[in-house]
Amino acid sequence: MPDVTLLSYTQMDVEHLADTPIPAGAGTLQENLIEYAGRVCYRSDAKMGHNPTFIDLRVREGHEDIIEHVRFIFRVQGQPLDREVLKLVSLPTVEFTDLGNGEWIFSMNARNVRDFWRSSDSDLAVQFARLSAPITPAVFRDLPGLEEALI
Amino acid sequence: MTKAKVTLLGYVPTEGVPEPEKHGAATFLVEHISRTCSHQIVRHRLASFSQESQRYVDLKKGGWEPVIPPAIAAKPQARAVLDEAWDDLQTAYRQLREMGIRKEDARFLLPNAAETRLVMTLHYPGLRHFFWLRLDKAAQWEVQDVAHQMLRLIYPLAPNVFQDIWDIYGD
Repeated sequence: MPDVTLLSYTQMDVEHLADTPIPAGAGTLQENLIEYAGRVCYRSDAKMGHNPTFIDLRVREGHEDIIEHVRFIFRVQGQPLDREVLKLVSLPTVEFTDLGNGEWIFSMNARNVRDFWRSSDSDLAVQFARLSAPITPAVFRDLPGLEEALI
Repeated sequence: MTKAKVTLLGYVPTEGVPEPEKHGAATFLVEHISRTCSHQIVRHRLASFSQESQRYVDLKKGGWEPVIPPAIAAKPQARAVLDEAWDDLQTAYRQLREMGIRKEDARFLLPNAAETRLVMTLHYPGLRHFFWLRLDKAAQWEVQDVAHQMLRLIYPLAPNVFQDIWDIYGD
């Protein structure tokens, strides 16, 4: 089983975002970024944080571009170059570094994490989703088997 | 001078990450740009975009001003032509809406000058490509200004990744 570590993910400086409605969101900062991106489309910024299911609803209706704004960097150890890795690196906007001896760096957005989870039954896909879920719970709430990661 | 405004909403720190130039990323809010400018930006297909919708947002909500090219702004007669056309199109848009025409159809009258805004996320390889193309002096004035604002925001956070671009285009 590969060993996966979350190295980094989208960070935000709240002080510099005081002119935006992002701090008014009710979720994690990363969820607020996603909600804000969605509200830019509908010009509904004033409703930031008013609807706890905003992201879930957008994801369910297929408006998934908004979850692409949060990205993650993972270190993976003990993962051979197999079909699952090929599946992963063929997703748009996934970047990778092959460090040799089964060690990799993968970076991807939250939509890639979901897409990989859906297309692969590998342990790698589950671990990516488990590590991403606490950062943006609303994005992963509908995926079965992640309840523990979302507590 | 354009009225474009770029805000850095977030970025992915790369301290201790091998090949940071591959794995870092930044998210920007780009406001007060024309649809002409946004058309160029969204052609960078490796980026992720969320753009204000003309299907969902009604012009009568306000807040959409025309973006005026400097060459037109500098010539009063040219400016008068643009202003008149903009006023006529706004009036026609409103008339269609009052006739019960949906926003998605009334928007067919909105010109490229119509203001828009978008949230954009690009990983560093995509952002470097964007900079090389859009900071070039041959790039259109509005997107060039957007690219300059982005570079000023991201360079201090990842100087090693963008040093070669900063050396040429930095302030």
